[in-house]
Amino acid sequence: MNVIELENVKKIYQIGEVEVKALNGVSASVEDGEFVSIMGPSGSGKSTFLNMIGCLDKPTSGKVIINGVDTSVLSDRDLTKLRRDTIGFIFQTYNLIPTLTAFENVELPMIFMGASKSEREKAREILSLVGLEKEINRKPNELSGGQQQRVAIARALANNPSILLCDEPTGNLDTKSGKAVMDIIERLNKEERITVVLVTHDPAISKYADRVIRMIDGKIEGGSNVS
Amino acid sequence: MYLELAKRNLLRTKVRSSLAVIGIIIGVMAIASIGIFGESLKASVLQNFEDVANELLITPAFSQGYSEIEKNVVDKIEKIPSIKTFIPLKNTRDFVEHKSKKNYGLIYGIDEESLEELFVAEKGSIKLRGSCVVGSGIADMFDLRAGSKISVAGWEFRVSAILKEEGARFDLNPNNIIFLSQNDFDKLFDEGYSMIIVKVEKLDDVEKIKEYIDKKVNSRGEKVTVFEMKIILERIDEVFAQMTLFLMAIAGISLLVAGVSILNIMLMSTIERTKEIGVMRAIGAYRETILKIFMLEALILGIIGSATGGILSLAGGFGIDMLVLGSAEHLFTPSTATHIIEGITFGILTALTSGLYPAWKASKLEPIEALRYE
Repeated sequence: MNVIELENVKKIYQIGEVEVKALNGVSASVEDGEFVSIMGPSGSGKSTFLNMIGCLDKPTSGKVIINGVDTSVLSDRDLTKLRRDTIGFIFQTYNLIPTLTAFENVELPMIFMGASKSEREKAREILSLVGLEKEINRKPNELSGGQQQRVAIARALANNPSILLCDEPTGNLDTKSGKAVMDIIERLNKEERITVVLVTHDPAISKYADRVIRMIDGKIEGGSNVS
Repeated sequence: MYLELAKRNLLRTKVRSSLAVIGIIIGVMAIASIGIFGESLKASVLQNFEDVANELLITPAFSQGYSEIEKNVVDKIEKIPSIKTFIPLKNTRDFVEHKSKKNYGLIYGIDEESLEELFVAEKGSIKLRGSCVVGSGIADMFDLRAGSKISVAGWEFRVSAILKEEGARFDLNPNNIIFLSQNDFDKLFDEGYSMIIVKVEKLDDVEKIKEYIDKKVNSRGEKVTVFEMKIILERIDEVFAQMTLFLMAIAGISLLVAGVSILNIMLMSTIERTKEIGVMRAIGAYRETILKIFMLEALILGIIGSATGGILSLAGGFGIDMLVLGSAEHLFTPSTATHIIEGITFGILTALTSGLYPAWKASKLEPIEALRYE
């Protein structure tokens, strides 16, 4: 079953008088539980592709279907709900809220969902899952890059998403931390059956994926099955 | 949690938040202190007039051609039940002499008891049987002392008392008057009643007496004019209320400035936190949630500033009262509490209004634009 489907998606930015085609007719699908890596040079449209799946950006034309729902007809509120309940985001720059502790950062999506205080205790469990049980009360500036990214993974898992979107999750990390982060993502994919779509430059990282989608100039160059 | 988040965001920029709070404190203090002072000023002015509030002055209806109040009218009014004090007065002008000094003087006929009720003797004691009582101005003019003798319209009277000098009075200013008993006055002059001073037990009776006179005396054409002293009090009250409001409006400008500074710091905060807003939107915050977080920040600034300002305005009010009025006896009144509450309310409202635009702006950010912001 496809959890993600893109049908001839185009995204055109108007920068001054120049039209930039970030996505130029992309069609793709991702199956439930699949680990897909998107590779391509800078400006090839891979981040835009990820943002489309994450309902952070809207296509100029074409359809983005998540879990069978055409997102183009959803309101801002419904899109927010979809992101909150179905999708977990992991960014290259971690993007943690600096005033909140690791625990509170993980709690935040649950608060947005309206979870009770006792339900939010789950954050502790998720943080120990990523190996940060001792750091739960630390703020982001008291954590290393690798630790921050693991908090970000924990945050992405807070509302039990079925899809995990990772935008260069190891881009700012050293090899060791990067591997630790990738091991967690792989484990989530294999053990929890969470669908993973991961954008990366690094061929070593794309080896974790079942399938690699290569992009160039806003188009998919050709899919290949890695496994 | 949202409250906690808002609180931490404010603590992130302590100096900036403190400055915004100080602005609100100054603004709230200014309007509340000035409001408190205005009320104190009014109270201290009204205090001087309070004892005349239950008075009515009845004079002939000059506009209808009456120059005196008819005897039967005086009798009718005297019989009104709720009257506590009834003082009919006659007056005229005539020659007054003492030693070599000679001048025209204003002469009133009054009962001894009534005179005692209205005025206080500074020297001597008030007695009118065969004597007279003079106001301080007359005493100065003729160099009189208690016991001096003066001639009024050719008749000699001993001065039994000199009255204490009075400030502005609306009924009768005694400073330049020579008071004789009604009997002596009637012996010397042939004058009708020129004025009746009526005092009532309760303030509410003022209206009743006015109605009674309209019905029983003025039913067939206006014979007498009734003037309530209460009106003066009401006017003073009105004038001071307007003045206080005006001063508070001026003080309100400082609150406006505080509002602008909140607007400014929150706009800065919105820009600085653009990426954070994007992250929150990405992980599931609705627009309203973002709006709520920012409005909570404004609310916190408003509450802290306003509450502190409210408390300090008591000190401010005390300071201005002591400085201008020399006393803070009117400070602890319900109106002070009203002004403090008013100040606090305005302070919080200013903060909320100022927070509205930045909060709205933050909530309108598109998640992807906000995330891209560096």
